[in-house]
Amino acid sequence: MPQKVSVSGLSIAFGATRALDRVSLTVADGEFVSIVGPSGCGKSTMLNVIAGLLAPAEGSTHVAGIDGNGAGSRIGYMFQKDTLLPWATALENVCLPMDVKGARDWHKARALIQLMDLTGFEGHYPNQLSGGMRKRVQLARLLAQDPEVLLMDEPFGALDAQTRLIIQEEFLKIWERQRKTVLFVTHDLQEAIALSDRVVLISARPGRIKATYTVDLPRPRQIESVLAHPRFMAQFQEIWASLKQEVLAARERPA
Amino acid sequence: MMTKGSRSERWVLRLLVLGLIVALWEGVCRTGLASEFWVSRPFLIVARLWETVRAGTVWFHMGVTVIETVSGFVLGALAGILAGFALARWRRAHVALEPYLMGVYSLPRVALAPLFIMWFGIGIPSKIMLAISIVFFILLINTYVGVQNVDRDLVNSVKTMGASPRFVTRRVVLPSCIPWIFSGLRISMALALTASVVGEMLAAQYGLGFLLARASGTFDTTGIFMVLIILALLAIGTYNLMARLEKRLLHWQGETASI
Repeated sequence: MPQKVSVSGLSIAFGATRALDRVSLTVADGEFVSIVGPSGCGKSTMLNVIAGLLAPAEGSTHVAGIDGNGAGSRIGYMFQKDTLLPWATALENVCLPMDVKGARDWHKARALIQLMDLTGFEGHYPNQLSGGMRKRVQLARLLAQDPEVLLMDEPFGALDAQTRLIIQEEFLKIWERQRKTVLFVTHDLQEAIALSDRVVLISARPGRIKATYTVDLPRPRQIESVLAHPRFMAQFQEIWASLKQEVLAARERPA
Repeated sequence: MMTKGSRSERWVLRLLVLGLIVALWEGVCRTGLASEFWVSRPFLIVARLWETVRAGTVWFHMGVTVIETVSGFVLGALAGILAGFALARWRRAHVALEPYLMGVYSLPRVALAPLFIMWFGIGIPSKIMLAISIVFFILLINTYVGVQNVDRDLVNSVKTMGASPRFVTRRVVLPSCIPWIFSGLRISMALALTASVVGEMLAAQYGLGFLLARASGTFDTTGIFMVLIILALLAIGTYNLMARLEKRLLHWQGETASI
């Protein structure tokens, strides 16, 4: 498969602190890759560089053959924080990426609202929606943009455990239909394994790629059955043993 | 939590307070505890108000004050908002001008009144200038702070959709400044009225401030109270107008407080 995202020799420093150290990574077209690692290892920073929001100290990133700054609307970025416009209704928020391109498609927007089970809430403002609903509006907005690559930075991290399971399930179902390239940062190892084709483990600062694991669970997957799958449990233990060392190492090294 | 009660209950309570104050005021004058000369009397004030309203002179003076206040408010606000965006846009200008702006901002601006009266005469223009000088800086600073406080994550997320800087300004920066601008407008409205009245009290031939100064000069306590009541009604009216406008424009924020 052709590669969609490539990161080569990427280093990033904030002042004297080295956040990322010569990280290289390629993601194939249609592949779902998760990045796990201790807090502060530079996972989110890496996404920001790929999205062109941050310039690297060394190295380069390419998305669909275009380097960092020019990738523009080929990338859909979902932040952990709510980035819905608070002054726009759910429907208007879903339309936002289409407005950027100058072509608002009401049919598509309504179809996405329906797909994300938000019918009846089109006219609601974000502060009138629950956390889970806001997340679904964000997913609908991401799909409305129809990017080639999805960058997701702990997108479900702020949700309560039950809502998170539901949203993961819904997202997985949609993804398995569309098979877009995904780079998914999370601190939740279960989530990483359950959703991904590949899990990349980044070490404590300065962040380096410590190991890469291929998840060989069959697709289509169902979250509940995946979590009970013996292969899942074995892989969880294997990756966690390695991740735990890094988390402990990060704890001993003050930020 | 305390409930606010029904609408009619609220108004009954409020009118009761008014009745109590009026009765007390009227009472202390009638029994000779206080002199009418110093504190006037509710019935005298209402009678005077009725007289001047019927004679029509009060409308003229009120009109002058309203024109000064509204012109100063609108011009000062427009200029202040534009200047705020300009300063936020050109970092250099902000760095260069900040100490001077803060200097003028910290100055009690009514102290400029004598200067404006010298420059622009005792008519309407000097009062408008005084109101502008107050409103301008409030809006300048509020708008500037509003732009600075735009949520970076919102800007970044729209940027990653491939949005142009113009799109980001129109759809993210401007709307997120509106609450800041509104809080500036709300304060400014009251201060613009203050500026006009103070200006008129210092030197003018018409306006509510002029009526106040004249009444004071002739020891006409009743006249002073009459003007104060008109001013209070005017201030409450504009405040509610602003609150209603704010509620309409900022409905996405949920409830905002109003009287």
